[in-house]
Amino acid sequence: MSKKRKLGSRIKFICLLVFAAIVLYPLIWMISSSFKEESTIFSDLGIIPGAFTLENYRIGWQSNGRVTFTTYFLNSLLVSVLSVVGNLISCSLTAFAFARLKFKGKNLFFALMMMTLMLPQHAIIVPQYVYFYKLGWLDSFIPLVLPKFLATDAFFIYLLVQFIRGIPRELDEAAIVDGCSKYSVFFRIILPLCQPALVTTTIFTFMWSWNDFFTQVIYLRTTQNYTVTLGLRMFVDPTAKSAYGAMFAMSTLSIVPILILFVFFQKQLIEGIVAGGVKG
Amino acid sequence: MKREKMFVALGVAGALMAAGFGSQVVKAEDEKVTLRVAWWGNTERDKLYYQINDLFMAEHPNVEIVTESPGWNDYWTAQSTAYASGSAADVVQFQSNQIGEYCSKGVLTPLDSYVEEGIIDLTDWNQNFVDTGRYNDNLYMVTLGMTAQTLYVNETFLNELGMELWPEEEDITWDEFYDYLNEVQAKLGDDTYAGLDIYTNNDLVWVWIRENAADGYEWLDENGEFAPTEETLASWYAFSDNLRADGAFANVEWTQEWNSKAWEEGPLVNRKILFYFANANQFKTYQNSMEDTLAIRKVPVGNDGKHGDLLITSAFGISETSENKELAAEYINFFVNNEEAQKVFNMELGVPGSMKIQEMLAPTADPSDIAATDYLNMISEEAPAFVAKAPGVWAIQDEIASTAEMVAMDILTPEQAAQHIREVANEMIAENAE
Amino acid sequence: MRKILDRYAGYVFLLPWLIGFLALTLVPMGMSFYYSFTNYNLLSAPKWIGVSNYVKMFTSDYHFMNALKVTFLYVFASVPLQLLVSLVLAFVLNKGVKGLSLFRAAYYVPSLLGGSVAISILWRQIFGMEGILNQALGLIGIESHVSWVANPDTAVWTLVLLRMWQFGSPMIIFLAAIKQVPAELMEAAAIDGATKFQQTRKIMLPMISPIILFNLVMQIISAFKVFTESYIISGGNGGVLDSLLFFTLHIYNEGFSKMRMGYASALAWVLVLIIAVLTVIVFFLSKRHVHYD
Repeated sequence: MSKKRKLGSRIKFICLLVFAAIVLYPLIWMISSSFKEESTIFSDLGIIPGAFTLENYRIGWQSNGRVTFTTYFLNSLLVSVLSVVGNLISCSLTAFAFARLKFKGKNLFFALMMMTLMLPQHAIIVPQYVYFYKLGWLDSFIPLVLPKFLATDAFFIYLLVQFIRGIPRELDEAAIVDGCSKYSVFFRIILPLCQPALVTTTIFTFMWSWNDFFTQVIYLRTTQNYTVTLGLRMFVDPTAKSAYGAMFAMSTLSIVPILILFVFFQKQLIEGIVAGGVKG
Repeated sequence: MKREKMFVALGVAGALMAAGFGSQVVKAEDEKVTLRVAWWGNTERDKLYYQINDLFMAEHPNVEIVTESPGWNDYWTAQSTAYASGSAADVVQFQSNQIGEYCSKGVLTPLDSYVEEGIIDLTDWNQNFVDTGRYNDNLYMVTLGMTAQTLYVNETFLNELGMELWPEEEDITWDEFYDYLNEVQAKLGDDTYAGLDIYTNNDLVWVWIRENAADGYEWLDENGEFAPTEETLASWYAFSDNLRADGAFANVEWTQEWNSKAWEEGPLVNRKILFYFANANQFKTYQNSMEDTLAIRKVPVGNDGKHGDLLITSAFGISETSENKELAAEYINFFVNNEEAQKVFNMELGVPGSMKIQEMLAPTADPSDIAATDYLNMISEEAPAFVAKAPGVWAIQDEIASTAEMVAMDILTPEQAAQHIREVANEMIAENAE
Repeated sequence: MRKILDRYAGYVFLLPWLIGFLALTLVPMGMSFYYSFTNYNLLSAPKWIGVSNYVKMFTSDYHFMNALKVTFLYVFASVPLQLLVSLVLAFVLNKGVKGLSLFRAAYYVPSLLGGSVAISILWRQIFGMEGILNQALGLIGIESHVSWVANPDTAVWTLVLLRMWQFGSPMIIFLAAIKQVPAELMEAAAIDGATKFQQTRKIMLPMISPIILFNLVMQIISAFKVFTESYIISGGNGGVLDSLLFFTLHIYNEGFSKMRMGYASALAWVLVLIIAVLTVIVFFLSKRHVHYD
C-alpha cells in the first residue's frame, strides 16, 4: 500500500471518528446526565459527571412506588416479542404469495397492500378502537399484537417481497420440477434464503413496538399494563415537578434491550444479505 | 420439515399467548368486586392515590381497585375514547372546565340520590365549592380540590426595586394593573420583565370573559350563541399586545420557551418576571422553590369593578356505564371525607370542599397552603356564581391562545382575532348542540 | 387434496393478510370515510353534514394551511438530506475502514431510538433557550438567547435535523445493497479503466437504484406520519404560529383534544390523498432511472 493511500485512509478514519462523536454526543450527554445530580444536569455540558450518583436510577425504577419499571419492562418485552413473532409469520407468508404465486386478484391485492403502507394510522384508529372494544379486548395487549399476526405491517411485506423477487426463480422452478409443492418451496427454499430480511424484520418490529407511543397510549389504560414508553411519559407531566435525572436514567435503560439486539444481530443483518445468495 | 414444524409451533404459541392475555383480562376475580378509578397522574401524585386506595380496600376487603393514571396530556385522549366506546372507569376524575362537554352527553350519573341517602355526605361543605359539580341543576361531580387563578408577586424583588405591593384585600382594575406593570418595567434591566404574558393562560381568559359578561350569560347568550362580544375578546388580545409593545411583557418566543418549563423551573422562580398569573393551589410549590418572598393578590377586576373569578375544581364523577355505582359513591365519599385519606392527600389538587377537613388540615399545613385556602374561600364569596361552560366552549381555548400568537406577530389585529374566535366558537357550539 | 391445496396456495398464504386487511383496515377505513362526512364527537352518534368538513378546511381553518406548509417543508427538506448523508456514508464505509463494524453501529444507534419520547424531550432540551446548543455556542463566544424550538423561523429545522440524525437506518439498507452488487462487475469496470467515481456512478448507483427508490418512498411516507416528535417538542399545541404543527398533530388535536372525529377523519383522508399522489409521482419520475434486475 502506498504512503499516500495510507495517509488518505487515516484522514478518512479521523473524519469518521469525529463525525461519530458529533452524532453520538446528544445520546452520551443523556446517558451521562443520568448519573449526574438532578440540579447539575442542565448546567453541565460535559460528559463526565462531576459527582457520580445512582440515585436517578433508584428513584426512576420505583416509578410511582406501586407499579415499577420491572412491570413496564416485562410488558414491553412481551408486546415486542409477540409482535416480532406475528410479523415474521404473517409477513413472510404474505410476501411469498405476492412475490411468487399466481392467483386471481393478485395485482389488486398488491395494490391494496401498498395503499395500506401509505395509510396514516390516524385515519383508522377510532373505528379500530371501537372494534376492539366490542370484542372486549381493550386494555389488553391483544390490540397491539393481534394486528401483527394478521400482516397489517405492510412495510415488512414490501421488504420481503422485494427480497424474494431478488432470489432467482430458477431455484423454485427446479424444486417444482423435482416434485416439491409450493409449500415446500416456501419452507425449504424461500424462507431460509430470506433469513437476512427476516432479521431486518425482527429488529425493526422489535424497535417499533418498543418505541411505540400512539397505540400504547390509546389502548393501555391500567397502570399494571403500562409499557416502558408509558412509564417514561409519566416523568414528564406539565402538572408535576419534572424529574429529568430519573427520566434520563430510565431512558438509558430503555434503549439497552434494543442495543443488545442490534449488537447481537448486526453481522447477520448486513453481511447475511450477501451470504444468503445463490449457492447452487 | 423441521423448519415447517417450528414455524407452525411458533404461530400456535403466539396465538395461545395472545389468547392467554385475553382470558387474563376477562377472567373474573373470585367473589371480588373490581372498581376502576381514573385520574391524571404523575409518579408522585400516584403514590397518594395508592395509599388512599389501600385505606379504602382495608375497609372493604372484597373490593379490588384497578387504576388508570395517564399524565395530563394523555388523560383526555384516554377518557374521550373510553367514553366513546362505553368502557370508561367507574370513578373518573374531571375538571370543571369539561363538565359541560361530558354531562351534556349523558355519560355521567347524577349524584343527587347518593347525597340524599347520605352515601355521599356534603353537609359541612363550602356550598360554593359543591356547586362547581353541578350541570343543569344536577350534581355530577364531587370536588377533590378547588383552585382558581391568582396573581403571584415576587415581593422581595419588588421591594428591591423600591416599590410596595397593594394590600391583599384591595381590588385593582386591569387598567391600574397595566400602569403598575409599566412602572415596574421602567426599573428593570434586560431579559427581565414585569410580568409573564397572559395570552397562553387558558384559565385567565375565562375570568376576563366573566368580568365583562352579564351574570348567567357568561358562555351563551339568550339565543344559544357564543356570548362574549367581539369587544371583550378584542380587549383581551389588546391587553397583552399593548404590554408587549411597552416592553413589560416579553416577545412570544421568550414566553413560549419559559411556559414550557416545569413550574419550579419557571420564570417566576428564576427571577425573570415579578408578576405571574397561575392557579392558587401551586402557591406551596412556587414558594418552596424560591428564597424570595412570594405574595398572592386577587386577579384584577374589570374596569367597572366586576369580579370574574372562576373556581376550577378537580372532581370525581361516576360513569353512567358503571356496574357498581353505589360502591363508586362510597369510594368518593371515603376519598373526600375520610380524615386519614385527606391527611394523605393533603390538598394535592387544591383546597378541599369540606370545611371540617379544611380545619383538620390547618394546624399542620404549610403557610402557603393556608394562604391559598383563605384566598379561595374569599373569592368563592366574591365571584359571580359558577356556571358550567356550555358544550363546545371549552374546546376553543387553544384557539384563543394560538390566535393570540398571530396577534403578537402582527398577522391579525385584536379585532380580527376576536371575530375569528367568535366564528370558531359558534361553529363548535353548533356542532355540540343536540 | 394436495393438488387442490397447491392450486389455491396463493389464497392460503394470503389468508392472514386478507383477514387483517378486511377487518383491521378496510372496514375501519370505510367507517372513517363515513365519519368524514359527519359531525362526530365520539360521545353521541355521528350526524351527516355532507362535504362541510372538507369545505371547512379551506375556508375557516387556517391551521390546516399552516400544517400543510410545515409538513411539506419538513418532508422535502429532511428526506433528501437524510438520504444524501446516508448514501454518502454507505459508500465511504463500504470501501474498507478500520473498525467498520463499530462505525456502522455508532451511526445506526440514533435510528434505533428514532421517534421515541425520550429523544424528543432530549431534543427539546438541546435546542431550548438554555439548552446545550446555546451553551456550546457561548463557549465559542457566540451569545445566543434564542430558543431554537420556540422561534417560528427555526423550529421546524430542529426537527429536520432530528430526522437527519437518524440517517443510520437507510444507510444500513444502502450498505446491504452495495454489498450485493457483484464485485466482478466493479472489477471488470476497473480493468476497462473506469475511475472509482465512474464505477460508482455508472455501475453502483444504477444497481442499487431500486433500493434508493425504496428508501425514498419509505422515508417520505414515514416523514408524513411523524407525530411523537412534533407532539412532544411543541408541547402538544403545534408551537409558536403553528411552526411545529405537523399534519398528524393537527389531526390528533382536532380529533382527540377537540373531539371532532368527523373533521379529523376528513383531514386524515386528505393526508392519505397527498401521500398517495406523491408516491405515484415518485414512482413515475423514477421509472427511467430505476433499474430492476
